[in-house]
Amino acid sequence: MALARRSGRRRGAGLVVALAAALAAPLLGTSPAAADVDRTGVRAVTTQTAAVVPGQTAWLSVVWTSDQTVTNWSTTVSAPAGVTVSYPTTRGGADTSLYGSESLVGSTRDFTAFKLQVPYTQRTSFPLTVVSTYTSTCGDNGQCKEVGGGNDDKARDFSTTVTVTVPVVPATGPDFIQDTTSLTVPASSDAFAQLAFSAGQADLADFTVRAGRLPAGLVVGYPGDAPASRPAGGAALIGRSTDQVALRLDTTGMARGTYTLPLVISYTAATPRTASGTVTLVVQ
Amino acid sequence: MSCSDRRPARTVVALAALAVLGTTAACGAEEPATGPAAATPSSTPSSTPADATTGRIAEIEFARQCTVASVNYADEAQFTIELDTHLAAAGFSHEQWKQWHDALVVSPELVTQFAEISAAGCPAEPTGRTPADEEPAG
Repeated sequence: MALARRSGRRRGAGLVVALAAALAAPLLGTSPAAADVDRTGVRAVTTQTAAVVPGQTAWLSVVWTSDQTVTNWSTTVSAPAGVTVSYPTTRGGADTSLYGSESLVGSTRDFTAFKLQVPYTQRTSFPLTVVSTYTSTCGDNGQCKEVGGGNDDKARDFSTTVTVTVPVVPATGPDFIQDTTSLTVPASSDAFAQLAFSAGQADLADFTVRAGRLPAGLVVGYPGDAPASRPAGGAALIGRSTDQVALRLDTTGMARGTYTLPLVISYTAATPRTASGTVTLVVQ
Repeated sequence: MSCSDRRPARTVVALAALAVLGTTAACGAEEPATGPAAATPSSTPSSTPADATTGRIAEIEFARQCTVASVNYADEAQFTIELDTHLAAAGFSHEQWKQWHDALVVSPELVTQFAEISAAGCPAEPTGRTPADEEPAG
């Protein structure tokens, strides 16, 4: 019983202390709940990214600012189904950080960059959910030291979630450009020659090039004895990039001269397509 | 002594500080950034004073922050190529930018200078607003 009474007195004293602390906390700004409030002022400056076109692979960015300096910055991006998000390989590929460093200095700006692969079926603007996590070392009173922690020397992890819009606009220009239009090869030779192609704004999947009706005496082959040649960098010709396909040209049966070599170029944009091209072949 | 009177001396101090940083921030100096957070400072730099040189770098950086979100690139490296193009046009190297950027975290003068340059706002933004004044995006 005595123990219970002492316990009751302790409980009463504890309540008094707790009540006093609760009353004093708003004045002191030191309640546990207040200490966990994000006072960093981290926010996105960007509400709308650069526009993309259907079928495009693009690196986009979101600019951030803050009132206080924060560290350990990490950003992840969620996109609608069909839109693929990837991150810089320099961080392992699971997230992105700020361009300049992992810290955002208060009252400055920096940006996070990420890559989107937008399918051809995505013809309207879409939202991205962008989540950034960071550490604040400012004190529970919101004050920060220039280096290290604030007045309480604690580090607090926070996150900010924003939604940004990615505008989708129709592609303009050709699907691709054939950069190499002429090849000069020795007579009686048998070697690979490179043809360069540049994609337009969007990616072209399953990009292949093969020769059409051959000039008399010419024998053409492809890497790996395949029925056609693919870009050196992979099966797709990535939008706004240049890649090369290789054609093996055996001219041992040809006379010196200038010939037109027709090309059949196949790829998949929104749908499978086939285009024709030519390359001027100079045998000398 | 007025601020303008002190400027030449402060410029010398700032350039000297950047030069010192250039010899100490080995990671940032020797590894050109190829993407976001590609390079991190290898040492804690000391406070760098603000001067005309740091102001010019801050102007380039702010201009980039105003435009970077409106451009998309096929290649991640284009972010750095674009920055380096503007730096080179102004006579700066990527290393100098990196040293300036790394110095921000411990240099209140550089932050104040950057904020002052940012105060005019981006061309598409209302003027007289600093980054700290802007509304949350989400």
